[in-house]
Amino acid sequence: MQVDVRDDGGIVFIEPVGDIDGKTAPEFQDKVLGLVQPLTRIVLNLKRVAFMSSAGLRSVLLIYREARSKDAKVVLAEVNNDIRSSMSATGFLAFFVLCDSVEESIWEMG
Amino acid sequence: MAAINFSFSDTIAGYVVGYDKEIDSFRIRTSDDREFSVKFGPNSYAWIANNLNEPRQGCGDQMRGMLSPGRFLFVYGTFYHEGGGFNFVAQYLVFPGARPDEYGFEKRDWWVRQIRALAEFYLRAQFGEDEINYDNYRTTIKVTGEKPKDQYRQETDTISRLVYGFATAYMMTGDERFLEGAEKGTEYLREHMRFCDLDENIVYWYHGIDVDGRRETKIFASEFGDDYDAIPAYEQIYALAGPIQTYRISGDPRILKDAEMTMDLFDGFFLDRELGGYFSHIDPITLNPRSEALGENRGKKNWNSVGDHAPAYLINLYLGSGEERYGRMLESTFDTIARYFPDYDCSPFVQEKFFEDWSPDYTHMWQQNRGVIGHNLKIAWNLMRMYGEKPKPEYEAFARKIAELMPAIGGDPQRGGWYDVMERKLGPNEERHRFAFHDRKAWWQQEQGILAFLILRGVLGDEEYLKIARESSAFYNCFFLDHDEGAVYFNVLANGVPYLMGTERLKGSHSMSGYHSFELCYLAQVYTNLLITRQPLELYFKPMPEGFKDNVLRVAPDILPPGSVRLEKVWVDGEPYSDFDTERMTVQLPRTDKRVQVKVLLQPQGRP
Repeated sequence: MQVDVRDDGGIVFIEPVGDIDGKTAPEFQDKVLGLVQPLTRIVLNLKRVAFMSSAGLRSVLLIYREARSKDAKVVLAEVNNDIRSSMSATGFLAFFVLCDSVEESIWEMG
Repeated sequence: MAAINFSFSDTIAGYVVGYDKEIDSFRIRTSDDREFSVKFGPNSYAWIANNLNEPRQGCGDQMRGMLSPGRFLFVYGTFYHEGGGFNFVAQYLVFPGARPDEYGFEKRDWWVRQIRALAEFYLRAQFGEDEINYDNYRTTIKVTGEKPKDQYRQETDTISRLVYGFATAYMMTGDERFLEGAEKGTEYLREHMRFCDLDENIVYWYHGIDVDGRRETKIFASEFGDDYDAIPAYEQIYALAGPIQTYRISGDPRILKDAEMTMDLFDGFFLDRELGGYFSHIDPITLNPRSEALGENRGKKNWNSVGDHAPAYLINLYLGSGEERYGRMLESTFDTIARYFPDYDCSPFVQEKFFEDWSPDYTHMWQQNRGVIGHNLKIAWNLMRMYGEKPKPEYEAFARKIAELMPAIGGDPQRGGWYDVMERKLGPNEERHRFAFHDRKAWWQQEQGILAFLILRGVLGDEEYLKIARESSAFYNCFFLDHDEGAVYFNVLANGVPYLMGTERLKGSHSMSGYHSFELCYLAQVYTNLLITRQPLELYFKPMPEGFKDNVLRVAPDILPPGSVRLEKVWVDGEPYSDFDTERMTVQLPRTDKRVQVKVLLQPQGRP
C-alpha cells in the first residue's frame, strides 16, 4: 500500500492512498507505527482513502494508542463522510481529533 | 486474647430435637451435628417463609406446637453470656414450610411464582407502566426499584442478563409481556451493542453505551478495573446469555447467526489452539490475547473464560438447536475443566486462574491465591448437567469431590448459606480458611449451591445431597427475598440479615441484573419437579414461523439423564396437539404464517 510521508516543520504528515481494509491494513500499520516516536506530532491525512473496513479502523486505533503511550499526538485530517460515519457508529470517533483541512490540523497541533 | 464474655446476636440453622414445655425451651441440632438449647423470650415470634408478592404468614401463636422433632428451621436470637457460658434466647424463628415435613420451595409452582414476581419487579423498575422501550433501560437500579436520575450507562451484559430473565420468565409463565421484554431487549442489543467485523467475519459486543437524550456514546472496551481497556471473554459470553434463551423460545435465525459469529470470535481469537482453553482477555484493537497492552491480563485463562460458556449460553444453545458443534464444544469445555481445575494436593478449592501453559496463577490482581465458593459450586452443578449427556467417571468424581469438600469450608453449618471468597490455603497456625474480604453471602453463590446439590441428588440419588440442597434453598428463600421492595437482595450478612451498603444495596448494577435469581427459579423448579418431587412441569414457547431448523421445537428443559423426563402433552394456541416426540422432547411445529404459542407438559419418569 502506498503511504506518502513528509516531515514539515516538526509535524509528520502521513497520507495513505487507497482503501484500508483486511488486505492493506497490516502494511499500512507497519509503515505508520514506526513513525510514531516520543513527542511526535502526526497529521494522518485520509483524503485519498475512500473506504476503511473494521481492520482499517483498528489500525488507526492502534496508531492512536501507540502515540498515546509515547506522548505523541495524532490528528486526523480530511476524513470523508463515509469513514466519519462508520467511526461514529462504532464509537471510535471519540478517540480522535478530526480536522476538515490540513491548515486546521496544523493549528490544532499548536 | 480475652474470652468472649459479652452478649451477641446470631442465627442458628438446624433440626428440632425436642421442645420442653416446662422450661419453654427447645433443642436444635445443626447440620454438622452440634446441639444448642433455645429459650423463648416474652416477645419471641415466628413466621413461615413466604414467597415474593405473597403475604407473610405469622405463626407466633403456634410456634411452640410446630417444633416437632426433625423439623428444619432458622432461629435468630441473642447469646447471653452468663454463668460461665451462654444462654440463647430466641428473637424470631423462620420455618421454611407450614407442615413439619414441608419445604415451601418444593411446591409444584413455588419458583414459577417467584420468577413472575421478579420479572414484574424488573419490568416496572426499567420501564414503569409505559411501553417497553430499551432506550429507557439503565444498568443501575436502586434497592427500591427506582432508577437514579444521573445514571446514563447501558451495559451490554446487564441488558443481556435481564433479557435472559424475561425470556426465562416467559418460558415458565407464558406471560406475553415478559416475552416482549426479552425480544425487544434482544433487538436492542443487536441494534446498539453489536459490532460486525466483516474483515474477520466475526461479531463482538461493545461493553456498553452511554445514553444522554438522543445521543449515544459507544463504550468500546471494558471500563472496569479488572478488565480495563480489554475485551474480557466473560463479557462476550454473557452478551449471548439473553439472546440465546430467547432463541430457545422463538427460533429467531438472526440470533443463531449472531451466536455463531460470536463463537467464531471465541474460536478465532480467544481459543488457545495449541494448549487448549480460552484466554480471559484480548486486546480490543489487535484482538490478540498476548498483546503487551493487556498488562496483567496478558496470556491468562480463568474459570470465566474457560468454563462460563456452558451455563451462560452454550447449554441453552445446544438445547435449543440440537447442533452437534455445540455438543462437542461443551464436551471439550468440561474435559478441560476436569483436567486442569482439580488441585486437591494443594487446596480444597479448585484452581481457577492460569497462565497460558496452565500453570497456576497465584498473583492475579485481587484474586491472588483465593477461591470463589460459587465457582466451585458452579463447576459441580455444570459437571452434573454435562454428565447427563456424557456420563464420564471423571465428571462425577470431580463433582462429588467438590460436594464433599465445600459444605464444610465454603458453607456455613451454623447459620446456613454459602460464603463468598476465601483464601485457598491455610496460613501458618490457621485452622480455618480466611475470608478474603468479609463473611457476607451473595445471592448468586446461593444459587450455585442450591442447583449443584439439587442436581447431584437428582442424578446420583444420594440423600445427603438433598439435605444440603434443602438447607441452602431454605436460607435463600428465608433471607434473600425483599418482601418490602421486591426482588432479591445482593448480599446478606452471615446471619441472614440484609446488607444494604454501597453497590451491594442495588438491585441493578454491573454485577446484578436479572440473571442468577431468574436462572435459579427456572432450574430449581426443573430439578425439583422432574428429578426430586416427581411432579409435572409446564413450559411455554412461541416459535417464529420457519424459525427453527426443519420446523422442530426442542423443549428439553435442561440436560438431564436420558430417560428421566418425557414430553407428555402439547397445546398449540390452547388446543391439544399431537405431532411431537415423547422421548426426544421435540415438537414438529405446524406450518403456519403466524406465531403460535406452544405449551408443553413435561413428566418425570424412570427411577425415583
